[in-house]
Amino acid sequence: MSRVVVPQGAVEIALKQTGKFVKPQVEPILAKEFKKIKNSMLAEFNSHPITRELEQKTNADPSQFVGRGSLFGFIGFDKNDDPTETVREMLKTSDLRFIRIKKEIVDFKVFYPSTEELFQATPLPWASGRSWLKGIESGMSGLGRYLNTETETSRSGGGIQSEDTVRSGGFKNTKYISEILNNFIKKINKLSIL
Amino acid sequence: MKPQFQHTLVTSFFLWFDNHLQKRGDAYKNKTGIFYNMTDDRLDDTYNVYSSPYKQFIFDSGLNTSVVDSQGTAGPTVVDRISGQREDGSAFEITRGTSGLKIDYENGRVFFTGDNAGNLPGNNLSLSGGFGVKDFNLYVTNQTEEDLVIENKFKTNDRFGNLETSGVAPYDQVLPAAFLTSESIRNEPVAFGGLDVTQTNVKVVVMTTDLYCLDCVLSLAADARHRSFAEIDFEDFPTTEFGGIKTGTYPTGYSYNQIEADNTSEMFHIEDVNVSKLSDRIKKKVNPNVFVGFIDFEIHKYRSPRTQ
Repeated sequence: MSRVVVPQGAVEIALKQTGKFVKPQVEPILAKEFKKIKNSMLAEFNSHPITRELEQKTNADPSQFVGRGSLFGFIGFDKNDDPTETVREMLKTSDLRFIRIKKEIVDFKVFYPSTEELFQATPLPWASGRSWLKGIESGMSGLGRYLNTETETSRSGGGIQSEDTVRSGGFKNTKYISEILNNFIKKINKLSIL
Repeated sequence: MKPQFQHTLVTSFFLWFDNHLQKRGDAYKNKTGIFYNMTDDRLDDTYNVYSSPYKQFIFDSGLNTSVVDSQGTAGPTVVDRISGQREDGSAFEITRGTSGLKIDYENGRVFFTGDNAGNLPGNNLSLSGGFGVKDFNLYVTNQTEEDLVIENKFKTNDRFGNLETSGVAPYDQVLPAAFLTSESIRNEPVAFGGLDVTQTNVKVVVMTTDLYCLDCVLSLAADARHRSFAEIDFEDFPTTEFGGIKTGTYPTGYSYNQIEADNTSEMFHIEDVNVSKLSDRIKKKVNPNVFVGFIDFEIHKYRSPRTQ
């Protein structure tokens, strides 16, 4: 058999065109895998004890995170507040996007909210420059419980009237959104179509 | 136990923040006033106590420069002498250390033990002096934010011209003030060889009767992001248990500027600052005359905790 010699120029042309042929094959597989990872992140968020307690509002009493009353009341949320929904909606915006084809490389990027963006979107009800989401991880005071009180009934239903002696009950800070995002990133880094 | 990293951090942060407010915000007033005779159960009978109507006095002599600042002075007066009249009407002026004169900068007062000949001490002296008063007192506290804000049993230092006719009681915490506490500390490995970054969250609650001043402090704090400050040993905190300058450590007076110039190798880094004000819609539930702000500092220090 005679040897076939492919000119280097032809190889380069073929390589340059690889991407646009590969992309339609790869994209749906990647999208499917990404969707699984994203759903897994949302499931982790939904099932996290912090999320569950906050969604039960003042009914989550006793709480496993605060010494007395509910976490919802401790932070000082209004009974109409739905704090976890803001976070969930931001997590849902996570997306896999096709960026470009450069020669044989098909470039995709994963977009997701950073912890900083999440913290900025989750202000404490009584101090808008502070984030309750960050406070969950780094610790927060029980000021909300005392400030979030009306004359007879608490706005959240979980606060109490402040008296001479202040006893807020401690708050046990815990890994929350940063852990969920880290797990998401780890899975994304391992994402493979093979 | 010997002092640990945490003590060094709090000491260093306290002195930096105090200096930051005074140097960059001119957060002081120079006053001249009478010192009133007071009693203090914590001191024995050998001390005659005279207190000004203000606290805390400025003790950082490095702030007094030859440059005229926004207050039209060259900086705050660091009181080191007192003048007055004896019971017989004769005038005197004595400096710190003479006749047992101690100046308690933290409590805005002076006290004498008198000399061996019995000169000067007594409870019927007329004393006056010039001193610089901080616009914001600074306290290290372990009280929670809810304790500080809700119980709020502080006295207010009137620094704006009302005539005061008595000294301020010793040891009371007085507003306007910033209360700082080191809340959490965490070591994160960053490099081979045991190098960690120690991340410390320092929280400051600012309480004042003046919204303008609150905004000043919050703004100055926010601008401190990514600044560094010098490491100062716990033992080198400039004041004694009497609130006076440690003359052994600082024989020519305490100057933060000098310390900063001498300590350029070991620094703390302010990685992040977050400032916030207590929301107006719920501020009415606390003392309506007090404005409250919160500052959250995240301070980093690269160190090898397991080999130190």
